[in-house]
Amino acid sequence: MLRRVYLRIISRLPRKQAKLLQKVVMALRPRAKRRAALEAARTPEARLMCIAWGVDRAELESIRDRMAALGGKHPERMLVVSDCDALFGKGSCHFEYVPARAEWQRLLPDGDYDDFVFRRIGEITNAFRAQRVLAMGTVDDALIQAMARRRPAEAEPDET
Amino acid sequence: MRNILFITSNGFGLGHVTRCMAIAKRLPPDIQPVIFTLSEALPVVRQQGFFAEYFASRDTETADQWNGRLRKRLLNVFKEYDPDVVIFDGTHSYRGMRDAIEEDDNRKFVWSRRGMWRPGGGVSNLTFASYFDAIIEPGEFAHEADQGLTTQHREGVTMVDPILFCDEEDLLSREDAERELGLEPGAVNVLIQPGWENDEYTPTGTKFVERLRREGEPVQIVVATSPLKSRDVPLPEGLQRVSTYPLARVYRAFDLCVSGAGYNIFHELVGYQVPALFIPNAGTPLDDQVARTQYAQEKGVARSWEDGSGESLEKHLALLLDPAERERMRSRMLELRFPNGAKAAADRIAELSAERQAEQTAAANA
Repeated sequence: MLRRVYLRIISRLPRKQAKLLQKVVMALRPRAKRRAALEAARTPEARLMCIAWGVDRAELESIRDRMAALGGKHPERMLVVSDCDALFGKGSCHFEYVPARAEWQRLLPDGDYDDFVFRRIGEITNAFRAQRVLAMGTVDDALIQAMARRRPAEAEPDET
Repeated sequence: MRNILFITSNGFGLGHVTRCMAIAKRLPPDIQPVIFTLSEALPVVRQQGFFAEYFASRDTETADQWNGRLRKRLLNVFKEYDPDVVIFDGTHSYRGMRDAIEEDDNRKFVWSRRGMWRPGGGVSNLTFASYFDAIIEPGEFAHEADQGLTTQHREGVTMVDPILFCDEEDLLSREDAERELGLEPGAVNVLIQPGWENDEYTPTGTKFVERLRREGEPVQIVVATSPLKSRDVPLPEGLQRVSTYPLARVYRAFDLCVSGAGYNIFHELVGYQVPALFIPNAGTPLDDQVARTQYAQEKGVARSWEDGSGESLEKHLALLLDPAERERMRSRMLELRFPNGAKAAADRIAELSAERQAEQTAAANA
């Protein structure tokens, strides 16, 4: 009921005032409730993370099948990160797509693709807290070394 | 170069991404679109030449977990590409996205909000409007029959004509389309494309195919299957399959179509004058497909098969298989034709991008 009233009020306010009201409401939520919400928001740990770089669709599908078999009853706890777009669909391993180098550089010709990949993989490892990481395909040595050096927490500080 | 970010919700098929791509390809050349999709249509988006980001839809995670990850990813994507405008196409904006909008409001947020909601539905969806700086409403052929809530909340909404991916000149001629599909000239060509959200494809499809095969004159039946791998459905034997994108390119090969009635398919068929029997899905959460197709039938541009009965199917198909009736439908569609609204939507987005640039410059000079 309260929530409905709150939503109705917020929908009628101008954007800036709606935001202010939201901030006040969030601040008023009991501390324990906020902590519980943060806990609940933590993604389950991935048992194994596979970075499959420069692989084609057939290779990626074969990696997916092997990872899913390793995952047993919980294939979703297996994580595959790739620059290939052969998506897995529901009920398989968790898939994270990272745009490939050529496309990314066409969009941002002055950007540093390697840095972008480090940041993205940092974000993913932070979210999934993978217990083990495996690299397959044509992963640059620099990328592997960087991943080995950079603990997830160093890669991207958790903002929550 | 300026960047614009499109966010498309999951959806069941290609509707949201198609609308975004339709707008994206009409943006001025100094604006680069980035398409952030939750849909399995990622390969289709890339094949069309767009730069795409993908974020998997929620599977086994809780809503809190998934929204938390979405928020972080979007914040990083905002930082990475610094888009002037972020356009969300969908009816339900995710909590993770709303949180990201709240935290990084240094850009223009636009909601591409289709109308034709089911009467009384979507009360909570409307509250999301406060998160956006602008709303663009893709037009609806059946707007006179629109009884949904969006019709009462149009202040400050940019209304555009129905958004289509292709323009008429992108469509192949009948001869070229027949050649591309490998169809023999001179037959009645029927396209079957049931809405892919409708899992009961096989029995419905079989009904049509059996009925069409009873025709004396040569009928060539082509079944459109989704280019999304996960939506692949088994077909009865001996049917030709087409799985190209955009399918509208080959529409001129067909004399009639038996089709689902989602926004894009409906407007493509009516807009490109293909006589159709629509099968509205009465079970969608918000999209009032029944009202849409009934309106089309009232206006004489299509037939609407909503009761699922064999007798009415017989009646509709008998009409559609009559060449004179099809010609009459085509003339009605020509009379009621509408322009493509994608360009107007792209222009509005370009305007917002320019506004943001001006604000940035003013802030830097202050």
